[in-house]
Amino acid sequence: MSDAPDPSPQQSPRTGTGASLFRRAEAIYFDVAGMAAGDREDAIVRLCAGDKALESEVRSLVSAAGKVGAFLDAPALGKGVEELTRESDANDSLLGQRVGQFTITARIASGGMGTVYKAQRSDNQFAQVVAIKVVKRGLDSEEVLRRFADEKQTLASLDNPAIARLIDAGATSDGRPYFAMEYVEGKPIDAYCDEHRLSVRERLKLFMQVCHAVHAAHQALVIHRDIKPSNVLVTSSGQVKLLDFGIAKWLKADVRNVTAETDRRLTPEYASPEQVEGAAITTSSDVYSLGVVLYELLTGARPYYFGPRTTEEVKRLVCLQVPPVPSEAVTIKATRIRSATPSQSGGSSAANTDRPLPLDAVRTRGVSSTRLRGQLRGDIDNIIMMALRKEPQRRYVSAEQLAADVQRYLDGLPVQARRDTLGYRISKFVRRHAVGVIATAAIIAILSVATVTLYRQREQIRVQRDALSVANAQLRETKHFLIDTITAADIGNSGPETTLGEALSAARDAMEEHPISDEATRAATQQAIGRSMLALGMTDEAQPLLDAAQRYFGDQPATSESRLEADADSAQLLFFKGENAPALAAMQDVLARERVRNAGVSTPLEASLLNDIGAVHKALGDFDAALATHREALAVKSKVYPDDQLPAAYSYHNMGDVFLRQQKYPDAITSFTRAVEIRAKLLRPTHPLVLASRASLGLALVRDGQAATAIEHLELAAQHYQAAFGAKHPGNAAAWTSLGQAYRELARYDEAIKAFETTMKWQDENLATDAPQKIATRANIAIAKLKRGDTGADATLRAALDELKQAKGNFAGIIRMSEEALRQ
Amino acid sequence: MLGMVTRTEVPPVSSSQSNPSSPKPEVTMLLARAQEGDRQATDELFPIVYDELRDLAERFMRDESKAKTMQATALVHEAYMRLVGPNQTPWENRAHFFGAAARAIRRILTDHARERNRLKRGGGAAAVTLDEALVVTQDAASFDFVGLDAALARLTALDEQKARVVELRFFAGLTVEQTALALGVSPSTVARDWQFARVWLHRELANAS
Repeated sequence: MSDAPDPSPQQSPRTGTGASLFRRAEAIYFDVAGMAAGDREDAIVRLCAGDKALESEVRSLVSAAGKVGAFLDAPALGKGVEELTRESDANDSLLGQRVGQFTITARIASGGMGTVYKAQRSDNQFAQVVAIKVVKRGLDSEEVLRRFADEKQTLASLDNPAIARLIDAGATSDGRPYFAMEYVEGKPIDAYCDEHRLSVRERLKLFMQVCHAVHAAHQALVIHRDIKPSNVLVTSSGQVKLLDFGIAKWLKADVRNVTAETDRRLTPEYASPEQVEGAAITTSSDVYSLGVVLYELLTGARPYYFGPRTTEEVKRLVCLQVPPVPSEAVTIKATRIRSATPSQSGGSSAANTDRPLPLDAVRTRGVSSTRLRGQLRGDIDNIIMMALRKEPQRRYVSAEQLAADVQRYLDGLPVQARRDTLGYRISKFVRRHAVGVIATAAIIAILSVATVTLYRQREQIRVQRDALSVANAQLRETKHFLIDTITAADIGNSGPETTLGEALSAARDAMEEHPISDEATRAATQQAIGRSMLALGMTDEAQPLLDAAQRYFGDQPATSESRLEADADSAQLLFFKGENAPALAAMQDVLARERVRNAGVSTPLEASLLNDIGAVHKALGDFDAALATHREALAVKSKVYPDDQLPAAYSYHNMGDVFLRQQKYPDAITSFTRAVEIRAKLLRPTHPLVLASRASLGLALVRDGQAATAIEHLELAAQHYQAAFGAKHPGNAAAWTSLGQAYRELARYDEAIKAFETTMKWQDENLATDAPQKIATRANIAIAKLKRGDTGADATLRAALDELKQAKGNFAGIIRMSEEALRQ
Repeated sequence: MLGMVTRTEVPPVSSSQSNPSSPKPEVTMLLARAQEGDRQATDELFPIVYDELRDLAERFMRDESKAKTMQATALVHEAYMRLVGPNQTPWENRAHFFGAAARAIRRILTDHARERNRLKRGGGAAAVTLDEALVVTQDAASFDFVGLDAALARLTALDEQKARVVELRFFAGLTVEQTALALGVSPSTVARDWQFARVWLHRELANAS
């Protein structure tokens, strides 16, 4: 630690004998921390076994624990800045001064643009109280003045009981613009609803008032652009008042003119995707913000929570991520929503009588949140999600339409909002955002595996109709769990660099710490995570998960689908571990049982088993059987997936692998080209599958002497491989090695050496010190250097060649190349 | 800044347009070396990160709308984007960056507190410097940053990991989970270390005063 001057690095008087005392005190501290005070003292004496220094250390820590409070809990930065801003506000204060015909009596709040004061009309016999907004000193640029002028006109043109009236406007004595508006004594709508413990229906009715006011403003061609609970007050009589048309702008002239400029003053929690992206803002943006407000009023949560509030993070969430539907987002806070039917007593009188004691809230939490979920599920989910759609044109046409749909719900009529289909969302997502955000891909991958698994279970249980609801609950619980844990893994903060593997490990850890209570759901989730890990080659980590799933599903009949799935996973795991013969037997057994089950109607499981069996045959060196099996798999896939080419691409790729092993390079090139064509057409360019096929195609081309054609594929593969498959995937080394060989073939020796050195770096980090692959890489580098004309390289190459001849493994190719190079 | 990130494929190893100052390749190199266990790289990293964070804090303060929402995590993230750029650096490499950033913030705050104390003792009026921007959660004036710094140095000697947990949590504002990733330990270990370190440090500071 270079920066911290350390006056006493070894010992301090208070810590006695240093690190060992520290460690023992820590262990005992944790033993006794949870004990009742009475038992604790005895325990300390017993555990310290007569060591008086230790005793006193533990006692002092236990006593400190009682006083620690929130010590260090708030991070060192953040609050201080707020405080500083407040201080500068205080200096800026106009308290007691006259502004126009008003005398300022108190400061109410500071916003992005100005400070709001409470003021009184001085020249009036009856005291008229107003709110005065004054632009902050230092911000009075022309832009703000222009905005301010807009605000003044905007407000003057609006005459609606639900919109705070403009009373006066002008400039302070030091030239800062101000305006006086109707002073509203009220609470932000969210606080109001919670304090009065309004029910869902009551909240919806109040919300409709907000929609009507916003619609009225829209009809006057005014967009609010900053709708959020703190701008929506509710008076004690239950009247809604919209405040702060601070960033509203005239719509009259030309919509496209409205704003392309960036507005950093917007509140990201309520901002629509188009606002966040700086695109054109329309009335639809207000509909979106209304959706966020309703979401929050009914669930206690917001659709998005931002980690670091950076531009990228805000954009990523608001523009890319579909938030959980409200019924799945219900929080503890939502227990403040009264679950009983609305009483007629009115909001204000319910205020003090109905508030639960904290203990009460805890006790009833589970029950009421379950009931609340039930209330929101379906129509309310659909209404809010429709308002929150990413594309403005797919939201409600107007705030009035949103209110009308809420009214239909309240009247028990069918609502217009429909569920956005998952397929639509995903295809849209992929189309619009080809950006290779692995983290997001991870969520989708995991969710789709989990969803498919559970969907199948549900289909099975359909016969027993009464059990259907159970499966539904499982599906929800799994989905919920995965979203929670993966978001909690803080992909937001680690950014798109988080690999799928990391996300999966995080999900696994989270499941260990908070086990899913329902056994079937747990097994299905373990299976989903395990299978995804397996797909990434994380064999060791996948095993315990897949074993657990197999144990659970093992009780079911031998031809039950869940058990077949679990057995297929375990067989695949055997293969990945290199136990080829047992893997083949297991797979053939599962295939036979699956064929009994499906009675001749081909299934995805059958196709995937055939694919795996083909791969095992190849691994066992039975190339003809491998090719025959892959052809069989292709036939099955054409029946199971008539409209989807992607599954077939696996078979083409695997056949290419077999041809490669047989050294039938033209056939390999044909097969891999098919795979690349399909995958590159349907997937994004950096998709792992695209890269894998390109890497293999490149290798086949190099072997066939077509290095120039190979370069294109290999450069793409090598550069993106790590991002796609993670740093530890052996394919990294393979891709760079192939690329190096291609460069070398083309006499681009410097680039070749660089590529091989990247391989070497990977091998140093990931392989054992004496791994023979490293010798091969050394040889590759030496060959390139020799060809470049480095005469010193031939000694290195000779040494590597000798070692290679002794090494275990198939190094015939590199040995041949080394010998050739030495001969020349 | 909004509206500038391109929506097409982002090549993994290149600076993005949203990044006003070009990333410093040496930082990426230092991070890679630090990841390989090179202590000297860690030392070389520190002053660069330190300067960048001070510079950023200054910018943050000039823009009031940003200052209001400034958080240590955002500050550190922004510094990272500026120095390293949005490339595909693995999280483990970023962990070293967070470490350096946490230490930089610790240094900035401690130096500032020392300066304050010195001025107080000397009776000179404390000029409001930009470092005011970085002061802080607990009553800026009364929180004993100098004492915390010394206690952290003692904690480092006794149990380095706990001291690093405190740096990352308190100074860089990382969550338990992020800290766990940065240190390569489990979140429950971090939570336990954090709990104990808070108690221990609180005791140290109470004894010192």
